[in-house]
Amino acid sequence: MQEHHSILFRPINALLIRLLGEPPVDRLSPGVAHFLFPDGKEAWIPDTAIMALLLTLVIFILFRMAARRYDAARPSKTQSFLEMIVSFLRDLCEEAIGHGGKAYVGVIGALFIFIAMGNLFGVFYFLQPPTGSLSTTVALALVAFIYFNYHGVREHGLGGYLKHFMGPMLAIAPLFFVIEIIGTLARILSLSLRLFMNIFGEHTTTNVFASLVPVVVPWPMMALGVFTAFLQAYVFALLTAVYIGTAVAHEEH
Amino acid sequence: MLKKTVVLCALALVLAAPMFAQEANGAAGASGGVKWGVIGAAVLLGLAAAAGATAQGRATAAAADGMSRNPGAAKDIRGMTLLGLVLIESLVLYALLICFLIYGK
Repeated sequence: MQEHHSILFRPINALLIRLLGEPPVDRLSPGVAHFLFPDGKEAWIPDTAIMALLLTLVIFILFRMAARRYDAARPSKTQSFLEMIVSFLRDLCEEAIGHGGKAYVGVIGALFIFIAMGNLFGVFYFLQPPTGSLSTTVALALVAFIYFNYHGVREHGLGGYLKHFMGPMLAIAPLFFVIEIIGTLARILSLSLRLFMNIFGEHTTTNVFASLVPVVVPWPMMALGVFTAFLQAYVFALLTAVYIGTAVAHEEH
Repeated sequence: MLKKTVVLCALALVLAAPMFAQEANGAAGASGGVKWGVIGAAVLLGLAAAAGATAQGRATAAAADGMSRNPGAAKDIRGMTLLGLVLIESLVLYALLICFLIYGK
């Protein structure tokens, strides 16, 4: 399947090659060279990274503009819309985590918005979704993993948090510990793979349809892509909230 | 009814006879032998899609049933249904990932 790059790929890399010369692929070992410069000599920054940086920039600009125009007395349409999103996220956190849910809305909301808008990049022809690459999704899953483990350790202390992995009875603790550790590490895999395969599969299928019949046939797939964009963002945020909830939960005796 | 079934099965077998000739040809004709990667990927994806579709069908049916019995809880049921469908879907997608990995072998 041939590569379809975004509209920013060639200009930015041409500019960087003019400024810095070609990427030093020859002077590194092949594994490192493939990791740092996946496109070889023609690109300093891969397409995924360019799109992720663009997404960060867009989110930053849009939300700064919205925050500057915040007016509690007379909310504009944009402000009402964003307030709706924030209240939705707040309900999600409170429902999944319990009492202290509101403290976690920041990171979970950031994950939700980043993933939703990143997935929506896939609908446009001249952009590529940053979440359509395993790099971005594993990074997001690692952020979620570190975040919920950090809060679990902060709430219970390191020993107390590890005691959660022991299970109900002391006799089966060694076995249970291994199973729980593997299950928790598998959360990174499942979060990242679910998001990646959904968006990559959707994007690839739309490309195949578009290459066959350019005009009308891709539209249902693109509509499905838009639906999947929000749904996958919601599921990622919800699952992260549930993991935080299980990590900070205080068992009522 | 039984006779029609028997006749249809016999017809299907007769029409599928060229397949046996093709299998022998394929086994000998491919460069390294039979392409197990492709066959494995096809079987895996077919099974995964079938199992996933069955599970999602049952989930949707249960959701519709619950929502019709208790329209007041429709919002909660819808949320849980979407979550369940997405989790089932993700298992099918893990199978698709493996298909991508074994396709060339």
